[in-house]
Amino acid sequence: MFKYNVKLALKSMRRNVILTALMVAAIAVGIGISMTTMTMYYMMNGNPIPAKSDVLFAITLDSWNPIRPFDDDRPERAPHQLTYHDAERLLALGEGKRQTAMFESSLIIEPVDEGEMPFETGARVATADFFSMFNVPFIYGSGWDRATDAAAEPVVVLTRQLNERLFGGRDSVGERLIMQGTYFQVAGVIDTWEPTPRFFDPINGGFHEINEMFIPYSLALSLELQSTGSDWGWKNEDITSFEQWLNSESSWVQYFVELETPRDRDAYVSHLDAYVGEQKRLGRFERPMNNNVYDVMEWMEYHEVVSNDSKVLVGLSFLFLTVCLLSTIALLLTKFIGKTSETSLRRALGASRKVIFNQQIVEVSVIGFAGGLVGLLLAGLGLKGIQYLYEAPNGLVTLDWVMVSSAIGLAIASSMIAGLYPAWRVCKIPPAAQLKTQ
Amino acid sequence: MGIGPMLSALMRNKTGPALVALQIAVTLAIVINSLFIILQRVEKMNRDTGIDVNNVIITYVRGFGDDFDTIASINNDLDLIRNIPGVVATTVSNHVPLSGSGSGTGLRTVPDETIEAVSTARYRWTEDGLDALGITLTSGRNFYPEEINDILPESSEGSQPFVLVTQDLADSLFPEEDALGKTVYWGSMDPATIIGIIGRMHGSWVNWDKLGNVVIQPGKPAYTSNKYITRVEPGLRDELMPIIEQKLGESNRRRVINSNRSLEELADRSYRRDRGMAIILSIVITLLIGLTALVVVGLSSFHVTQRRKQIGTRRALGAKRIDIIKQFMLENWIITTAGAALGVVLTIGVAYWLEVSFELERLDWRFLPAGIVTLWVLSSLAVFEPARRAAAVPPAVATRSV
Amino acid sequence: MLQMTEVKKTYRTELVETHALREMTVSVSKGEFVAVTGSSGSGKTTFLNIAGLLESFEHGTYRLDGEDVSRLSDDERSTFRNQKIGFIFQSFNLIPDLNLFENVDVPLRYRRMSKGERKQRIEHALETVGLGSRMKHVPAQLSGGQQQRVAIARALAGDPKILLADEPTGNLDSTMAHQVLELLEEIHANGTTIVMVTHDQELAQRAERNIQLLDGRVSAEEFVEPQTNAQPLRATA
Repeated sequence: MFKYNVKLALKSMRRNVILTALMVAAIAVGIGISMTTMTMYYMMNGNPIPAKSDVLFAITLDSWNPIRPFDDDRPERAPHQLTYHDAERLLALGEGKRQTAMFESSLIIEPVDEGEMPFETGARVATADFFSMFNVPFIYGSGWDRATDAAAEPVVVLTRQLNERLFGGRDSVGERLIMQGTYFQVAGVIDTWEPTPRFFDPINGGFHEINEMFIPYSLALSLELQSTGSDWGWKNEDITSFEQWLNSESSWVQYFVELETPRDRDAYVSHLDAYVGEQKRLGRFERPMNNNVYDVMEWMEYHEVVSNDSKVLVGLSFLFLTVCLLSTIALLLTKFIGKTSETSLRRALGASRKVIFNQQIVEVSVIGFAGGLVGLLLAGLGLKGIQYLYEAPNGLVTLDWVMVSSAIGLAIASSMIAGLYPAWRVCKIPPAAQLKTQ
Repeated sequence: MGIGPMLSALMRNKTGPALVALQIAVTLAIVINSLFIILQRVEKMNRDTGIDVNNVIITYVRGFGDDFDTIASINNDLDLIRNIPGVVATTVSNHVPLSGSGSGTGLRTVPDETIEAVSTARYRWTEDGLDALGITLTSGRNFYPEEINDILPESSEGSQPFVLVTQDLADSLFPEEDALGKTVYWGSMDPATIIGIIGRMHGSWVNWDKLGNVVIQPGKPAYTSNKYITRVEPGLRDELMPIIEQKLGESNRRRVINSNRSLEELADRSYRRDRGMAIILSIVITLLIGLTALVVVGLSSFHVTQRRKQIGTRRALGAKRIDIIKQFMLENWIITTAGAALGVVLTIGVAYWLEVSFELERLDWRFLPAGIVTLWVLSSLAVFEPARRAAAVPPAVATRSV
Repeated sequence: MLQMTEVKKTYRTELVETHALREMTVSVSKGEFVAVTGSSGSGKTTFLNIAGLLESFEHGTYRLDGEDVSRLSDDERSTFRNQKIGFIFQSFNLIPDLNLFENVDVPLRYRRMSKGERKQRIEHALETVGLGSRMKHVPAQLSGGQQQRVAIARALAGDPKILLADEPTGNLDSTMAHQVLELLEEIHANGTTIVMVTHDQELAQRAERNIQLLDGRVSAEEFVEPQTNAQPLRATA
């Protein structure tokens, strides 16, 4: 019976090609648009590190101006980065299972041979724990260890792309680079790693590409590394040297800690409160106690990683899909009116209501499936367009199998919903009605 | 046929027309709200920046090595660029307007930390800075060359107590009086005198609501990375960009030229979200209007075919062609208008949702009547061809049996 | 085979009540060929619709093939129609975009029947009506008489207990009408019960019995004398 229904559906679709094409187009366009915006939203709203998103925490301490809050619009918020001084102290206390302080910088890779051109490269300056905390995959070598941090040894971990550029993609562990007049030894090369959003640094851009290399945080002091990311200050301090800058009240260091259980989380907040209490006695932290830890998803929410525009687009595109469904219902009704005499005849010849109903549902499913396939193509095109418009890195907006199957599923489901009422109307057609008069 | 019988005909077969009306209503809600967003973004992108965006080149360089002399390098570079034929003016600056990267500060009119400061973007450049961006002073004077000192990073030592401010910033600081000659205070409570006022200039962050607040200090920022702003004669930009890069590259090998782009490109990047949104929404409403129009055409054509016999009978009974066309157009008009009425409610609903949930601007009410009139025109166009075909049905159809 | 007792059917609209059938009592035995006649509005069509289980009725009882079918559900009636009743309509009611084979296949599709059996029945039915060689044609390629023969084949393929014909020759010219009538007589001769509704007195005379309707009631019944010039045709096969 199913096969017969599919055959009838195809015959019926051919009978009125224009109406069928319109329906397929309506569903395709609706699916194409809503899948495009949904994918964008889903990528932005996705969990970038599902395995650990609830054990990794960003930290904020309220070291801001006693007179006014960090954010006038949201006075409950502490500054979202730490001062260098506080980050140093928390690292030294080391209360979490793992922790990293970090910031963005850039260095010039100097040519080893004459004739090669120097070039500037973005770097993430972080501690040894960065790689194990964030499950960073390696193709060659590994990160550095805590002893390297302690000794402030110049080592570097390269991304796959930078290793390709510098060493033609070969195993470069042990090779050396000159930066800031210092020889850096390559400790490892990471594999393609594109957590989306870039959860460990939504402040400088949740959808930026990851930095091209990683170097130990302890080098900041000896190499006088400056942050190229955002920094925020409130206090007027007379700064004439790099050392004074490091000890200033400027907030420019990001801090993540790994805590295994909710109890550890509570304990860590108490630990932060204890630290701030101690600092208060030294005359710092004049605002009320306001120390927080945010897990990964809370941190994404905090920084509103999903742009309002993309939410508006999702909302509007679902309204669009509604229009497409209304079109489909209207077209199906029209089409079924055209089939009244045939349906009436089939009923007279013994088809039960259920059989007629099923036949209509199969027909709309076939239309839905066709619409879904075309819609998927449109969504693919749409995402290419969005990638171009927003200059998004590869991988930010791609259709994965989840989106592909939900596109087809959504197409069939919505066409079925659209088909229900018309199918119900059709199976109500009495068997005798149209037989006499034609 | 008058409105009465037509209405009753529509009522008898109400589901189909109701669906079309509903579709028109949702279409109206999407189109009007999208169009409103698009126009706002376009307006935002086309604001007057006060800057000669199209003729400015931005060059980022960075020296390396222990013996690199930043101050000497900057002086050499500026001389070199200035002497290229076609260059109008060049300066070194701490930041680049419209680029998304900048520095901000707060200014006060009295040296009292407890009163709220006025937030503003802050730039530091030479006496050539205004000319290099094509910015015009409306009152007061520019910096003199002798007021320009070298300023090292993380310190403002050598700063002169003079500033230029934009009219927007002047109005925020001194709403009641002329700001020229007045004193303002930095966060450090150091004073500065306003020596000149700029009619208009945009700062670095295009999404900031105080984009027009800018304060400029005299000086040559001698930071690790140096940013050169160069204005050239109109039409020479693309020709001179590679020349600047080449000459800088040849002059000093201990330095990397990180980027050499037009300010237009940098500004475009800053606006790419807005542009993206406007383009996506334009595509969405084009598809939507196209789809709805096709559906209206498709359904009317189908109804014409369905009602051939009825139309023929009417013609046989004396209806003129124009009567048939009128009947179809009027029927369509009733459906469209019903849809538009519901659409107005939906449009306001969606607008309210956008305003409350996403802090978008409130919909301009004039979009509603404009949308309805456009809808009437479009739907009449869509139904005209099917109606014409209906009118072409010969009266003889009435006497045929099938 | 068919027994209607005091069946009533009333059509209601907001303004009018039409008594289409008033206490209709009719009986048709197995193997009979009955013609139901009457003027327009006499209740012929309503009778046929009720007899064919296309419509329900308010009053009375109706037994068909030994079963009380008065109060069957819609689904049960569908099954009954499908398996025990064959319909022949005035305007043939073939589906224009199906070929002859597929048209005859329509009722069989609603039964659980193997592909092979369906094929055999369809081919047999189409051969019986003399169209075995044109199975791949679509209705538009046939004459009216041929189309009606396809409709008859469709009715026969299901091997019905009773054949209901509604003005089967009404849309045909006299030659074609004659052929169709001969075919019906042949089918009757093979033992199928036939009830034919018609307003054509001459046609009605070819049946074994005539039932005349007036205002929704049986007004007269007569057995037809075999006419001398009308030789009952026997199956030649």
